Parts: sequence; structure tokens; C-alpha cells
Amino acid sequence: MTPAGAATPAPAATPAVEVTNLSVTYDSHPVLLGVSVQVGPGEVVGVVGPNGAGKSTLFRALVGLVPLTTGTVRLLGGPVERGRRWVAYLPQREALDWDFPVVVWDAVLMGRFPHLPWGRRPGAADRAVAARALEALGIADLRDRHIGELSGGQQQRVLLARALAQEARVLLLDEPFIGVDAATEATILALLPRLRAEGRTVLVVDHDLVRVRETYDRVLLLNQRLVAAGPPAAVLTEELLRATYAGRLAPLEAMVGAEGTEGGP
Amino acid sequence: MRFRVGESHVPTGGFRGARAQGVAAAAVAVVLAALASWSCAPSGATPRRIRVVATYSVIADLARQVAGDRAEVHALVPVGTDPHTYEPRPGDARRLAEADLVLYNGLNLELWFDRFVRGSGTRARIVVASDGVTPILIQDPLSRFQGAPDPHAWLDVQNVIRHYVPTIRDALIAADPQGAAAYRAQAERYLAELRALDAWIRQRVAAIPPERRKLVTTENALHYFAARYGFEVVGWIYTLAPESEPPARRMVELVERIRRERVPALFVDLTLNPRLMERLSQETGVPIRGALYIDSLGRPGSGADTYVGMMRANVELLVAGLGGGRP
Amino acid sequence: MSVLQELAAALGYAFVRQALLAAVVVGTVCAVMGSFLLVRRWALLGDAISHAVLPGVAIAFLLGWPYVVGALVTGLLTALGIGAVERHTRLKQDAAMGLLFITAFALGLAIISRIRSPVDLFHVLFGNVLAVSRGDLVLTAVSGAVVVGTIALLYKELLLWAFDPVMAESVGLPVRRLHYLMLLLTSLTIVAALQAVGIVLVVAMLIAPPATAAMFSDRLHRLILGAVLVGVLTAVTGFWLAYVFDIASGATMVLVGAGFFALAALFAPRRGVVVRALRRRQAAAQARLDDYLKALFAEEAEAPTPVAALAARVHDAPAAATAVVRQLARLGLVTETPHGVQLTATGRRAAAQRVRTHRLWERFLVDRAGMPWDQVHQAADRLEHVAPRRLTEELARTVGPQATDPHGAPIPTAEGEVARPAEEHLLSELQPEQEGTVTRVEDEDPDVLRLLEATGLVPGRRVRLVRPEPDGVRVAVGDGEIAIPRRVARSVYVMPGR
Repeated sequence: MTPAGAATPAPAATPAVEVTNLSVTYDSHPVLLGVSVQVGPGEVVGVVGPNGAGKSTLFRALVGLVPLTTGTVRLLGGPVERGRRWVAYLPQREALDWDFPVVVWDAVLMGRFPHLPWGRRPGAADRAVAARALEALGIADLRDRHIGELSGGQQQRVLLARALAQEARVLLLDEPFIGVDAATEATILALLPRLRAEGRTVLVVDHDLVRVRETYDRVLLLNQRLVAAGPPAAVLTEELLRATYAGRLAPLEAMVGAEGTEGGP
Repeated sequence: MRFRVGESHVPTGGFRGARAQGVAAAAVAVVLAALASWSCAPSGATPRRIRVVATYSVIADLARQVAGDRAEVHALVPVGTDPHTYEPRPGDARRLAEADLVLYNGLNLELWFDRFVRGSGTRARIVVASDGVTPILIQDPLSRFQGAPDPHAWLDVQNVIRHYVPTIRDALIAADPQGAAAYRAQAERYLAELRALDAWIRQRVAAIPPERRKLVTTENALHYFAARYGFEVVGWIYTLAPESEPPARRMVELVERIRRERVPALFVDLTLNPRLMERLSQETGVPIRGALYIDSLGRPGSGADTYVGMMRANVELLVAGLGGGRP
Repeated sequence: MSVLQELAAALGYAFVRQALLAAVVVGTVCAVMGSFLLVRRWALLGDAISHAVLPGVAIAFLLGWPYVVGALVTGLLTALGIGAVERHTRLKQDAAMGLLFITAFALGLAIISRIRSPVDLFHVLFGNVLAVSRGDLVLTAVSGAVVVGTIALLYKELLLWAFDPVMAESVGLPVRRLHYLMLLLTSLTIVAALQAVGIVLVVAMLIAPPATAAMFSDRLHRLILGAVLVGVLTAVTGFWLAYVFDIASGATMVLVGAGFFALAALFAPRRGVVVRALRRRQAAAQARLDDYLKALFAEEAEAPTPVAALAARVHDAPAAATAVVRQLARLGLVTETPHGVQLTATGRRAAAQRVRTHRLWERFLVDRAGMPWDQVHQAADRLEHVAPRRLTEELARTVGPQATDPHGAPIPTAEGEVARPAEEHLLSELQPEQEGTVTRVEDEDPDVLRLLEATGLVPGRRVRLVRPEPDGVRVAVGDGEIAIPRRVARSVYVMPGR
């Protein structure tokens, strides 16, 4: 399989996320180099790579949180500024202030704010959307619970409910499966096909190669550069993984070897 | 004093040669000699003015009137600043150290003075100008100075005539005996002026009907003046410690007393914040009719930049404010 | 005149009314602004800005400008300066803050010492609410209205920015501008509060009421409302206390604010220290009662249990046991007879429920969590006290229909019924050559349990007594024979027969 998405058939409609030659540098340390990829609507894509590979930075670049050294990003066929209110970026959970005085309902309702003009309060329609989001994630009975009293899995559900309330067309999930219980993992995995069916685009940073193999339409192997992009079976080869993880492959070898793919002695 | 230049710490060799050494040595010698001449006492060939330091401007003026040209008088607390809570600066310590004579009011005026003098290490003569005054004691149960002497004795011209000026004159003579004759003469002249001032005040005050001679000022400072010239001190906001917030109750009591006594006018102190008095004025409807010179002379050109000028200005304000006619 | 009458009379004076009104407005505005400072962890920044307005006030005096302008300018400049220092040097925010605001403050002190009397300085630093004129009041009210109005208008944007600045930025909120807006509003709040409490004490009015409200609220808008309530109460109470006791009003208000916070921290219904300690004690007391009930349930066959025996079983002193028994009697769960303690019908049901919960936990831990049977008793003991009651039926559903716990003891039904085995003898009391099936074992001693597991003497096993021995018994179990110490043999119950 060749890298950089050349052999991947381009999605039929306008890509939901279009990245061209993206580079990001912090303090003269390169974090992302020349990344180009198109993720079309209705795709669930896994992003795989070692620590420091730039996965989180890629997400942050997609929503305009970091300055681009080179390259462009287009969201939903237009500039980032126009499309970003339809993008839900869920960073890793530690980044949030779970002591903040809000209950689950308040947090989820905030998903509606990007669509409300300055000074306008959420209305009945907004509340209905938020309520449906709570139901979809199975946390309707937690709506009055303070967010600091939630387990890891429940917190992740709240963030996802907020993204659903936002009616986001693109969801960027950074390691959503870390520290969540089995039921939540199952809920999230069940949610992905629904989102795909609704034509939404989901990018998920995921480190569990077994789950990656089974879950995603396409996989992006990232280590500063885009090493490869394509269907999991084609991309999760030992050769490509070695190229991506460069030296940190030992525990992964076992996984890849055990599941049995082509390549590898 | 001898200075052994040859053994100075000029570095030898490796420093651009012997010529530089010579220049450096000469420079050091010049500097040391200059320092020596500055710190040594003069041999007495040139008469110089004696250095008098007064704590604040009122006493400084009295000293100037008596000393004339023979003395250089400096006041530590600048004009317009409150002497009760003054914070001395490093320059003040230097002046104190170089002074021949230090004059202060005492009677609890300069609360910062004792520690300051001890710290300065001055060898000057220190004289309390109010020596001999019969103190009026402070009657203010809410103040920590209750029962202590009230410092504002200079507002009674008789005290200045009988005590302040003679004390200052004698102190000058003791510090500078050669000027004794001049000091006595100047003191006599000034005392005559003060006696005339005292008589004028009495006559001027008579223009205020007795029932209107009621004083309300920011600071509790007019007891000596009131006792001498026939006024009644009805109320005040601060007693000697203007940095603290007066209790709300005092303000309420003051309002009642002003109304009860039908005080015709309120007065503020030039050195203190007038805002609280403005509240009293707003509450009682009694106008503020002027700012009195109490703890400080006025600025040069204000007409109140001498003691005599200050007292005249105060009396005119009181007469105008409390309802006397014009002369 | 009583205190209340005096206070009522005081309200007759305009300057008292103005002062009180100023205090109330300040209390309100500081509470609203301070709530955001609290949740954004900007308390120290609030302190820094309050100190930094001093040179602005001083320079405004110098130039004859209204002090508001000067205060706003230097307040904002310092806040920007802190950000700049942080970004362009290696200093972190706390050092940058300390450096800049104290420098600004010292500059202010220097200027004021040259131009005004110490009285003015004192009032700027610590406030003098009695000196508040009508003009001051208008200024305070207008500044306050701007602050509160802006926050109310932009509430949802500020909420999102405060809670999740990453999401706020990512969806396109101008976070940088909101940041500066909040700094500006903080400066304006401090200017409004200058007359009442001064710049040194204003940070207390900014932080204490919201901190107090935070003890009671889970939601920001409720926190703000609570903070306003506390802020107003603080201002009013502080003012009146200062009046009655002749103390400086600014300091009194701050002390009252701190006092309210202390009360809240101790006694707030869910988060208060004292409340939590009381609840812990209550839980511990309840746990103790439960243990006694369970012990009684286990002990009594038909006869009452002597208190001493009961005490021994729960590992308590007899004196303590007597007190607990009395409490149980008061609750109607036991009766005390001359021969000992006996469960009442109600008591039996309650005890059975606790026993059920305990044994269900043991079953769950062994079956689902794979815990060894010698550890489950202690673990279940702890779990049953900590887990909420409704979990018991969840447990029952999870472990499925089970008649006994891992040690063979019958699990009472939800109604409190417990199946009694037909006939049970201690292993040590069997006749030689008598056979039987192990029904259950005592579960309190982990060593015994491990030995039983090692030797195969577990519920459901057939065992035959070979012969008694001096220090125990000899039994045949499985393929072989083993000697069992007496105390172990007294822990095993056998149903004789085929």
C-alpha cells in the first residue's frame, strides 16, 4: 500500500476535512510536516501514531487553535473560520476543568452556543436538541449531576453528548477510549456507525490497534508526516507500523503477529 | 589630617604604565583632600549662618523672625503637609545631623520625632519651643490621646508671646552667643508685632455675636484659640490621628450637635481631606465657609506664609463665616 | 436606646444611607465579577489589578483628571504587562504578576507621598465609606451597572469561555478579546469599590462571597446569585457591625465576609467539613448496628444470646456491647431477656436483609471478581456498609439464583426468609465412621478457610469421620485421610447421611 493517500479513492462529495501540505512548528521544533489528506463526509477515520507524533496538533490545526507554518485547511468546503462552529473538538479529558460549577445538562446545552448569536439565550428548540443528545448517550438520568461527580466513562459521554447537541458535522475525538468503562466504550462504538449514516465525519485518535483494525473505515498513520492512509487491513502492516513507530514496535509486533496479516515472518 | 597617598591602593604595573599610576594617585589625593576639607570644621575664619532645623513651618517662621540673617532656618515638614503623621526622609536625617539647633513643638505634635532624633545621631542642641506653656488636656473619650496634652498651643498668640518666642530667642543665643544682641533686639521687635496682633484679634472677634462663636473643624485643634478669644469648640472629626477612619457614631453625634448648637458655619483644615466635612455639611445644611491654617503656614504668596499672616487669615475667615461684619 | 433603635435612627442620616447603599452596590458588583474570577482561578490577578490602580489614581490627582480614568488605564496596562512578561520572558504568571503589580503599587505610593496627605492614601488603600458623596455613589452605581450588564448580556459566551476555553476558541469565539474584556471589567469593578473598601481590601469582597456561594452551588448562575446574596449580606452586616463597635468599615466587611466563608466551609449541607464528619460518624454508627444484627442472626438458634457472647462475636468490649444492645432495643429490633438478647420479628427481618446483602457480596466477589474465599468475608463486610441499599437487588440479579454464599451459608430471600438446613452437625461431633456432606463452614478465619480449601473440606464434599484424635479428628475426604485440628473441625458443618 502506498502512503499519503494517493491510492485511496477520493470521497465523492466535497471533503468534510481537506488538509493540504500542512506543517506546524512550535519554537522551531517541527510537529507536523507536509500533511495532506482528505476526509470526506460520512467517514469514520482512525488516527494512529506514537506519542509526540502530532496527532493532537493535527486536530488543533483543524479548528484553528494553532498557527499553520505552511499549508491550508478547509472545513466543509470552506475556510476554517466559516466551518468551525460545525466541528466538535474533544481533547483528552484532563484538559477540562471538572471542578467548574456546571451540571451535565449545562455542559451539554453549551453545545448549542456556537449556533446562537451574541446575547441570545438557548430556546426550547435548543433544549430539545440537548435533551435528545443526552438520551443518545444514555446519560439522561445524570442531567442534574455535577460534572465533577462523574466517572471517566460518564465524562466522555457528556463530551460526546455536547458534540451531538452541537449537531457537529465533524467530530475530532482525541483518545476517547482511555479510562472509560466497557459499557461506555460499547456506547461510543455503537454511536460511530450512526454518525456515519448521518453523513457526519469522525476522526478518532486511537492507540488500540486491535480496535482500530475493527472499527474504522480508514486509518491515518501519523508521525509528523502522514506515513500512510487507507483501509485498516492495508495500512496496519508491520512494515508501515514500524515506519510509524520507529523503534517502539516491540509490544505491537505481538499484536500484529497474533491477529495474522500478510507480511511479517 | 594627613593622607598617605603613596600607600594608596593604586595597582602597580600592567595598567598602562607608570604615567597612569601617577595620574591616579594624584586624583585620589585630590578627592581625599576635598573630603577632608568638607568634613572638618572650619577654622572660624569666615562667619557662617547657624543652621536651625524646625520640625514644621510655624516654628520655622517664628525662628526666622527672631534670628533674622544670622540663621539659616529649614522646616522638615513641607508647607501644606500634616506634621502629626509626617514620615521623615533620608534628606531630613542629613539636615538634622548637620544642624546647630533643632526646634520642635512637643506636646504630642510630632509623634515621629523621638525615634527620628535618636536615629539621626545629631549633636545639635534640641529645644522644645513650647516650653513653659500650660497645656490644655485632650477631652475625647474615643481617642487614644484622651487626657494627653493638646499640641496646638501656638494658636493662642499669648502663648507665642510668653513662651515660644522667648524660648526660641534663648536657644538661639545659647547656640550662637555672638549674636545675642541681634537676637534680643529682633525678638523685642517681633514681640511688639505679636502684641498688636493679639489686640487686633480680640477687637476683630468682637464683631462676631457670642452665640455664633461656635467652632467645628476637621481636627480637634482649636481649644487654646477658643479659650483665649472666647469661642466654643462644638465638634471635630479627628483627634491627632487623621489616618484612621472616624467611627460612624461620631459623625452622627456631630450632626446632632451641629444642629443643636445652631453652628453657623463649618471649617476644614488645609492639611486634611475635606470629604468627611462635606458629608456633615450636606447632612446639616450648614455650609463650609473656609479652610483654616492650623498645622501649617500657607504657601508663599497666599498671604498666610508667616505666623502673623496665618492668624490674620484665620480670623478673617472665622469672622466672615460665623457672621460678623466687614471692618 | 437599643442597638436596633440606634441603627434605625442612623438611617435617618443621608450620609449613612449613602454609605450603606455604596456598600450594597459594591457587594453586589464584586460578587458578580468575583464569581468569574473564582472559577477562572483569577483571584490573584484580581489582587494584582487592584494594587496596580494606585499609580493611576495618583497620576489622575496630579493631572486633575477624574480618578476613574487613571485607575482604569493603569489597571488594564498592568494586566497587559503581566501577559507580556509571561509571554516574552521565562517568568511564569505568578512571578510576572508579583513583579509588575508591586512595582506599579510602589510607583503609586511614591507619587502620592509627594502630592497628597497620608489621609488620602489611607482612604484609597482601605476605603472610607462614610465619605462617599452623592457623586461617588453615582459613579459606583454606573460602573457597577456596566459590569453587571455586560456580564448578563454576554453570559453564555462568558460561561463557555470560562468553562472550556479550548472549545470556545475552536468554535470561533474571540477568546482574546473576551479575556481583555474581563480584565477591563475587573478594573472597573475595583474602581467602583474604591470608596467603600479601598484597593487593598477589595480582593476580599471579590473572592469571599463567591467562595462562600461555591459551597452551596453546583451551577454557575446559582453560584452568582448566591454570591450576590452573600455579598450584600456581608456589606450590610459589616457596615452595621462597624457602626456599633466603632471600627473601620472596610476591614469589618472583609472580616464578616471571611466569617461567612468559614461558616459555609464548616456547615454547608453537602460540602461542609462538619457535615461530612457527622455523616461519616453516622455511617460508622449504622455499620456497627448492622454488625450486631448480623451477629445475632448468626448466633441464635432458638435461645437468646448472652451479651458477653455477642460482644465476643463482634469483637467489642462488653460495656460497649451493652450500649449498642440498648440502642437496638430502643429501635425495636431486639428484646433484652434475663438470658440474653433476642431479635424481635422486625429485628429478624432487618438482620436477614443485612445478612442477605453480605452473602450476596461474597457470592459476587467469588463468582464474578474471582476473589479467593478466604478474603471475601472481610471485603464483603466493608462493601455492605459502603454500598447503597438499592444495590443489593442489582447484586442479586447479577449473581443469579443462588441459595448459598461461597462458604455454604444460606442466603436469605428478599423477604427475610432463610432456609434452615435439615440437620447439621459440627465435623468434630460426628460419630466414628459416620459419613455426611459438608454443608457450610465458618467464614471468619482466613487461615482456617485456606486450610479447608487445601484439604478439600468445602461445601458439597462428602466426608467420613475415621476416628477422633487427641488434638482433633481424623477424616477421610476424597482419596485420602487427613488429620484435622480441633478448631478447624469445629468450623465445618456436616449433614449426615447419604
